[in-house]
Amino acid sequence: MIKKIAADQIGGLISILMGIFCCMEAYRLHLLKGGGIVGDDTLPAIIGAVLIVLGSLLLFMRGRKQHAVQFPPKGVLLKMLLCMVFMFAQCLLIPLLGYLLSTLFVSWGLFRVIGGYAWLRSAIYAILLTAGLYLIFIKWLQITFPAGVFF
Amino acid sequence: MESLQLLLSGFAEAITPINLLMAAVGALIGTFVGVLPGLGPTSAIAILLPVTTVLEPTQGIIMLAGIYYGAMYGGSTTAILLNIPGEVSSVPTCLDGYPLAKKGRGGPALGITAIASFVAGTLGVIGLVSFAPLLADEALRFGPPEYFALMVLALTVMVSLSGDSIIKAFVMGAFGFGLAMIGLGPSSAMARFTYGSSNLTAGLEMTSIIIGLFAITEVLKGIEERRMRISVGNLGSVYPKANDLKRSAPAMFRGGVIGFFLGLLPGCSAAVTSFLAYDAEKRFSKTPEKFGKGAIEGVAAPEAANNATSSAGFIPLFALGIPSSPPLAILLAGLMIYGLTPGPVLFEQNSQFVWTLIASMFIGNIMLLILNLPLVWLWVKLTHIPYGIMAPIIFMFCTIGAYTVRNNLFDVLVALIFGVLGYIFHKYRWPVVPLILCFILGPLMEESFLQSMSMSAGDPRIFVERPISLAILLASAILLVISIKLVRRTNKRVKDETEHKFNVA
Repeated sequence: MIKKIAADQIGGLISILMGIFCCMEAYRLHLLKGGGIVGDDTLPAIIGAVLIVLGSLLLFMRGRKQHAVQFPPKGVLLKMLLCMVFMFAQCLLIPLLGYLLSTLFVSWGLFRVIGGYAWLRSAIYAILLTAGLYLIFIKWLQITFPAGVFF
Repeated sequence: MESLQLLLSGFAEAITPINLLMAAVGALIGTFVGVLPGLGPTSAIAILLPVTTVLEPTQGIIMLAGIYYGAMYGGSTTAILLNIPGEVSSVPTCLDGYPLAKKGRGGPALGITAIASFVAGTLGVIGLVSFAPLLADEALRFGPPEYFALMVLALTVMVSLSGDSIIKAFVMGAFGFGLAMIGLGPSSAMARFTYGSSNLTAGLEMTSIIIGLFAITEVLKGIEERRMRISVGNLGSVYPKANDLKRSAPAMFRGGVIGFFLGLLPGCSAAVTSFLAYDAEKRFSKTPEKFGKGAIEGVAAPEAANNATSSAGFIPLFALGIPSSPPLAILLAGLMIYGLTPGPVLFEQNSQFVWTLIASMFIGNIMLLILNLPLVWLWVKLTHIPYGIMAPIIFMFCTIGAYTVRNNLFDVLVALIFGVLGYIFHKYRWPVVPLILCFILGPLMEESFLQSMSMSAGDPRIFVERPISLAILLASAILLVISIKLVRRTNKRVKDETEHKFNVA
């Protein structure tokens, strides 16, 4: 599933939008600034202008070579998406369940999704990984992680 | 002479049982991660950087040095055994390394690689000891305009990291600058781009962005490519024969010299020098027809150049604060975690620490040679670990690494967001290293810019009226032109060589 898209032009547009965003922030800072020629607003303004100029080049320059972008098949894409969902979920679960339990659940899911192992085998790998992380980072290196609201 | 004494005191600090253990562990895990197919030295260091942050500064930095050399060596191992160059600079190693491996001579090729890396790396560190303090002494005379000019010089590196579009590299650099501006402004401490968020007021954490763009993205790429275990044939003995050494020694020397001196130029990456060394070796050879079919000199020369360039890169890094390659940019981030800001005052303010680091680079190099040759079989076995097991482990390391720097889950969230962004950047060929480089250099550049403008009451001519500043700016312009030419040449060579043979990860 190879398709040609004007990705660089979209990138150029995003760059222009970011540039406008930077310039707006520079203007806000400029109004807050008491006096002086340069200050905290100077670089945001310069970077904003640079982003707008470079973005315009990408957007309007003719004859730029477009390369084909090949996306993975749907199944693989879903697998990647699931992994990231698990990882974001871990971020939300850590304050609730604590580091160890959330790591156990999330790694269980990751072993299942990435490796395609059976649930039981994935659970064994997850337990081993969580135990290893506990021993190295919590017991040995004394890192403090959130314990969760239930503990 | 003073440098030698300081180096000896650095050794005294570095050679303790626990520090030696850290160097050994660093070299081993660096090689381990570097050996994993598709993970280049940059990704390897990015993944392992968080592990070092939980250690004492000296131990952490020693481990980091071990990881750096280990990851570089690991990248060469996959290039030779599996024909998978972790970085573009390893492509020339594949040209003759893989044919040697197919002939059952992968062992000697790995042995020569280790020796070439050790020789060139050690020579490079000697060059560092000799030149860096002198350069730093000169640079002590610099004022804010010269520092600003220096940062402009550093940005010429972006050209060599630009991939297929210089405009895209500069957009990414500007984006990096923008990200670095989030937080409190250096002049008035006014909040910028924070929108009332307390997490954003403290600014974005560099480690989280690095973990996201390199480590998490790499795992996503691995899932996409459905990486699996890969079997390697018979290696043969890893100890090269006398004849191999005899043929490789001049190649190592020539490659080392090319790599070291060109590596001093900020715009000249290891990819450029390794290709130049390979091409020069082929030109010098009496049997150029053997190149590409398994000539041991074809492995020795680019590997020596690659490592000499990496070591030479430490000179502008330590003396001027300019990272000349992606792994060094990550290493710079590692040093900054320990409160070290590489640049002219580094040798003045953190003398003991710097010399301990330099001593640990020697130790890291030696550890690599001692440990890696006998353990080649182990690295080969490790390539058999299924990706389905490795990927979740790397993901969990990423969470810990992003969290531990500030004990803040917001940093984990940032790492994940940049992981997704990194994958999108990879798909659409937007180079991420300029982003990191500008994120690191941005605050320093802004500070020196604001100070310079205050000195001149807002007159930008201050940058061209001071001779050193003007000279550095002119050098930047010249380097920019040279870099563009060299990068075009290298891109052409990479295209020639990779069209049918490899996938550069």
